[in-house]
Amino acid sequence: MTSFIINSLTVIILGIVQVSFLTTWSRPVNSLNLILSLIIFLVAINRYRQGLWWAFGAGCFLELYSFDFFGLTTLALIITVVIVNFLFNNFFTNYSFYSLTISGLMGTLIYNLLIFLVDELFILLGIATQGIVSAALFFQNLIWQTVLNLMILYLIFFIFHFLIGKFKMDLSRQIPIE
Amino acid sequence: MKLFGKPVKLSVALLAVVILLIFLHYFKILSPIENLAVRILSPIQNKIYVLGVKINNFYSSTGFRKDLVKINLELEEKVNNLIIENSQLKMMLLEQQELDQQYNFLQSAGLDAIVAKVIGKSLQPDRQTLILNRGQKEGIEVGLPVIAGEGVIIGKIVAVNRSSSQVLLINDSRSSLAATIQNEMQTKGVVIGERGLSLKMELIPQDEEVGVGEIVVTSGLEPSIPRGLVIGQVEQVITEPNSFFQAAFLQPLISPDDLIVVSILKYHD
Repeated sequence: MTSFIINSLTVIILGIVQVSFLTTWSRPVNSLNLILSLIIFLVAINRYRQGLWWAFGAGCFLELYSFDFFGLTTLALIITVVIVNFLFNNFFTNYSFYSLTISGLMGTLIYNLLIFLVDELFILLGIATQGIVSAALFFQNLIWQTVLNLMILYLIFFIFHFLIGKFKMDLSRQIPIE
Repeated sequence: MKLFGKPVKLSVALLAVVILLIFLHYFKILSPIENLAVRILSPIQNKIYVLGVKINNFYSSTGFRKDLVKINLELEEKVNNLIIENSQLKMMLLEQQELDQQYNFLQSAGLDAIVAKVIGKSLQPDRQTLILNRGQKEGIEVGLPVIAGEGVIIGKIVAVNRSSSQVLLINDSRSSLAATIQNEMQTKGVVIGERGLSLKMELIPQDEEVGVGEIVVTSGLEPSIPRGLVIGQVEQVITEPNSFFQAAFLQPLISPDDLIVVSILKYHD
């Protein structure tokens, strides 16, 4: 129960920071997706289950302030977690700087492309009216978001490594592949 | 290869819950919970938003490239000033000044409006939109104009939830406004956003004279937008010999990045 409350509060605080703080910064810093970075990191350190819950919780919170199709942000976050975990289970043998970079890169691309494609599909079907401003601007922001998300991931990586050394944490991927 | 790890049931269950939530949302069953969450969190979000704007303004004016020693001296001076000032009071004062300006304008123009606080911006950085803490409950509708300062239009409402709404800023590429230049000929045209960076007035007849520095206002041709709301000032005129129309780049009078409180104009006759 305590863990549930702590996780919920963390997700809400992160959501508020994402919606009301990071968006006030000038371009390209406002492209940073802190929630996505943290969720990818959770999967990278073998916390797939927690990553899924965070994706669900943060997604639900962000839906309150997203004027896209309701559910799109949550679905995109969950699917991103599933795919990043799939990459970890099948292609990366262990948690490393290299695997973190690839998963950060893939996670950011998958999340943004999912939102982009569904948005454009809904515009095409006449369900939504607000699409992207221009493809060039979208891809420019996507590049910036990828770079910034990776920078945040590296920062968390180094802080985490410091903590592993201090507390001797085991990061080997223990989830058996069925 | 396996698509899922061990917690396969959890991912499928969460996806199913999301689909259920989508249904509940569209049948408005979730509305009370959504409203409550927005209502509880919007004061905190407004405070954090104001803090973010202040920090951003501080760094924009200071500049990262300056000499570190110089920055340090400036910071020391700023810290001393900040100790003396009551930051909470300053924030309230800022809000009050903005509100007074808007109230004075609305009184003199005989317009009715709803005051709203900015609680966030679009999650997609390529979109120039603000999230406001007023929604359907307060009578907000799509298409209503949003103003700041003394009658400066900043955008139009494009999406409304029960307790929040979204403003498409006039500098967004998808924004267009019927406009008039305040010159002798009352030149008409359409103001569009330029990739979130500037404003451009198009469809200005070639034979009409447009001068730099002239003020551009809303023309009143759009049903929900009253005439005379200030859009910007002519900065540069572009005339092409083989075109029927000329264009002008406008300088906005308010930076949307600094907005904390805005007014949503209600329908008028």
